[in-house]
This record gives sequence, C-alpha cells and structure tokens, in this order.
Amino acid sequence: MAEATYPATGEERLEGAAVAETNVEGRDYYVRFSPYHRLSHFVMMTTFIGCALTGPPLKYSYDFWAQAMMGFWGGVENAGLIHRVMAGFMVADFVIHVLYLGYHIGLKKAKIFGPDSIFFWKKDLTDALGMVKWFFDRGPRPRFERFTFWEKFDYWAVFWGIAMIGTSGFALWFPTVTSTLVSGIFLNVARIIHGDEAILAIGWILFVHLYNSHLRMNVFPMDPVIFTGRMPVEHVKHDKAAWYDRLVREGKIKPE
Amino acid sequence: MKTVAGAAGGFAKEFTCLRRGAGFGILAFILLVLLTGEVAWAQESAQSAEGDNGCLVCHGQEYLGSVEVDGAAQDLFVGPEAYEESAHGLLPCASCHIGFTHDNPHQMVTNAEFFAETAREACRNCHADQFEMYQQSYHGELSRGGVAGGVLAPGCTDCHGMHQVQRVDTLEYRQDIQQICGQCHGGRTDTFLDTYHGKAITLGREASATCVDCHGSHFILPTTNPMSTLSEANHLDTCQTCHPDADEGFTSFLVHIQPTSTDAPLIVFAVAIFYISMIVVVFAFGGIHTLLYIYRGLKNGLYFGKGGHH
Repeated sequence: MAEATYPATGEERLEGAAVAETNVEGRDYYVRFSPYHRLSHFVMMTTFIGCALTGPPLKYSYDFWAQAMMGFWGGVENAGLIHRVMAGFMVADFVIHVLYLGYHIGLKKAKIFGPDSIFFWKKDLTDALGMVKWFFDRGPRPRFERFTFWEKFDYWAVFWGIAMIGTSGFALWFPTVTSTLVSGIFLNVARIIHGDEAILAIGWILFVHLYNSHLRMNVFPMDPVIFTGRMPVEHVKHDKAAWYDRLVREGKIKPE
Repeated sequence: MKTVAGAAGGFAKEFTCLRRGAGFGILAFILLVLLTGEVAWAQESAQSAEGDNGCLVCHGQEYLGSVEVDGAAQDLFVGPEAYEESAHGLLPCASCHIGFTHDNPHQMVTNAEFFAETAREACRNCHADQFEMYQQSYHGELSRGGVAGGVLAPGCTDCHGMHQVQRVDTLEYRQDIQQICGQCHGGRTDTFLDTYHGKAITLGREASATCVDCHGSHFILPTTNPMSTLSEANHLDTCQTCHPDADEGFTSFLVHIQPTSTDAPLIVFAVAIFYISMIVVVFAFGGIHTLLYIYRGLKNGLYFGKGGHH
C-alpha cells in the first residue's frame, strides 16, 4: 500500500508505482490521505468541535441556550479551560503542519504550483467556471486534478482561520502581554476578529464544508476518505478525472 | 321517578343536617387555626424583623394597593418573605422609617420630600461613610440640584433597593448592577455587556468586573474629574486591581464602543466592517456553490436512489 503524500515527489512516485492500490471488498482503492493527513485532520476536527461548543456560549451570553450550555460545562471558567486546552492542541496541529509544509517545500523542493499542490493555480478558475456551466447543464463536469477548488478553499479557509483566530485568541488570553507588545485597543480588535472568525468558521463547516465533503452527490450520505484515507478508484475516476488519468499514466493505479 | 326523587329528598335532608354540622366544625376549626396562627405569628413577629409594632399585619397584605404621594404612586405592600431574606431582614421597620407615627395615613408618606429625606437619614444612620462619599459624588451633587436640577439624581435606594436590599458582594447583585446603572446609562450597559467582562458576569463568573469595579460606587465621578477612578491619573491603578501586570498601554482598551459605529477608533471600525463584508462575501459564494450543487444533484435524481454518475 502506497501512501500518497503531499506534495508527492519523484521518489515517492517510483515507490508508489509498485503497489499503488489496495483491494478492499473487491474494490480497488487508492490511498489518498497519509496517516499524518488523517491524524492532522482528526485533531483539527475534534479541537474545532471542542472550541465551537465552548466559545459561542460566551459570545451569545444573553441567550437562554448560552446560559444552559455554560451550565453544562460547569461555568465560564471551566468552559474557558476546555476552550484553551482545545485551542492549544489546534495550534500545535497548525504549527506542525507549517513545519510539514516547510519540510516539503524547503527541503524536498516540492513544487508550489502544480497538480499535486494545494496552492491555487490557473486551472482552479477555469474549473470554477466549468462547474457553474455544469450546474446548469451547459457543459461537462470539469476534469479535476488532485484537489478541487472547493477543497483548496476549505484548506486555505482553515489556514487563514487558525492564523487569525489563534493570534486573536492568544491576544485575549494574555491581555496585559498584548497591551505591552502593541496596545490596549488591540484587545478591542482581537475580540472582533476572534468572534467574527468563529462565525465564519462554524458557519463554513456546517453549511459548506460538511456539504462539500459528505452530502455532495455521489458521496452522499458520507465520504469516509478523510478517516480511512482510502478512495475507491472508481470514485477517483469520476470525481477527479484529470488526477485519475495522471495516476494511471504514472502507473500508480490500474485503469478501471 | 317519584321514588327516586323522594329518596333523593330524604337523603338531601339528612345530608343538609350532616353538612351543617360539618360546616360548624370546619368554621370552628378555621377560627381556631386563624386565632392560634395569629397568636403564633404575632409572637414570631414580635421577635423578628417587623418588630413589636407589627407593621406587616397590614403592609404584608398584597391587596393593600398604593397611595398617591405628591402625584406618584407609592406601593404600600412589603413582601414579608423578601424582606426577611434581604440584608436588612432582621431590622425593625422603624429603624429606617424614622419619625413613624400611628396616625392614618402615616404622616411620613404623605409628603415625598419628607419621605426621601427620611430615607437618606435612615441610610446615613448606619452607613455614614458611604453616605458621606455619596454626598461628594456626582450623583450626590445631582441630588442637591447642583448639576442638572437634581430631578433624576439617584439616591441610596435607587441602586440598593428598599425592602429587598441585598449585600453588594453577592453574584446576583453584581449581575443586577448592570441593569441598575442601565436605568439611566442604558447605552453604556449595552456596550459593557458586549465585552468579555459583561459576558462573563452575565454567565455567572463572579470574578468578572462590573460597572462599579471600574467606575466606583458611592464616590462615583465623571471620568473627566481628576479624582475619578478612571481619570487619566487613576485609570491604570484601577485596571491593576485585577490585572497587576497591566502597563500604561492597557488603558487604551475601550469598553464603551460600538465597533460598527463611526465613533469607534478607525482600526476597530475598519476590522469590524472588513469582517462583516468577508462574512457576507464568503457565505454568499459558499452558499451559492452549495445550493447549485444541490440543485444539480436533485435534477439528476442522485440523492434518491436513481444512481449513476454526474
């Protein structure tokens, strides 16, 4: 079983070519997410849920549900402690991910723009326009590469989100440090960023990310790939046609 | 029919007798209970709050209503339980209602000025220090007509209540104080409740700051007054009460601002508007993409088992 890691390098491709697929229940699977990817997402998901359940009751303190929820956590101080512990793990996950990016881009000289990269490139724009056409039956579904534009958006939303919510969170956690380093008015700014970024993040996860990853046609009602790492080859072919062609060309998967 | 009616009549007669007997019995029982109750209650009253004068015999009755004192309705009812649970629950009525007379109507309540004056004297008798500080405060100055005619000046009871006066260090009072101040300073309460301190105290975090922790209480002064807890000279000291590591920059944090108002500092306003715009744009794009995807999926029948791909 080969692990498709981001960004795949020449060596990995060669390694992967030998055993690029895994057979489960008579279906061919391609390992899309490495154990690191899965663990990183799992930590992100659980700490996000932890923060999302302990933060909003403070933000909406005047609502009855907020008071009930704070009661459930055992008061503001307990909820605050859970929130900070969760945030600590989330930020650790983020820092490790930045190191991971640095390792691949800096040391292994992975290409920043390319079919295996999570960075936006020109094709994402044409894909997005192609999707709009396809929604109205005015054209074929775009032949996506390894990451669709909405997957990239999900990734960068989290990247930006953690940077902003994390920085503002620490600023609010240590108010006197913030005022010493910058100024007290940044506590006003940090509170706006922290609360609004939370609305963005929770709203995005609930109404866009969950839809895109699980409720989307063909994967409905759930796509377990982020937890198992494995994606049916048939699914790769239909969902990400350009990637499929490339994987076949590179000898990483057996053509359907 | 007849027999039934006759039987019923006989029964009714018997029943009337029985009922009359029982009725006397019950009446006697009620009288007994009332009498003993009254005696027991009177004895209890003599030892507790309402003292030997038994004011609550009348003023503990909800139906007592109110009287008009100089054009304003003055409630005559005092909840006995609430009073006993108050911080003053053990004090006899006359310790605050000084100058009380047995005339009806009691002389003191027929004149608002006398009433207010007595109320102040009553508080001063035990809380002289607080009263002195109040006198020197902005509220005290207002009350003497010194600043704005004294019409809306809050006195002791406006903040502390009367018969339900609470200890000021209870969580309940610390939560209530925002609303009490808000009766006159409504907008300030709203902006305060939007800060961490305001949210935390609402949710029961006792250690959180309230209005009076920063502005002071009895000796409250406008922040422009050098003696104010929030004057330029004292601001940092006040913050350091809870944030000992705070330095001068800390005081530039603004409690009473509405971020989306143009009165807010530019950076706060800009960030608030940027985020509102971003929320709108991001959810518009995400939402449209999701809705169109659902539309396409429904059209292809892919959600309801017809199967197939794209």
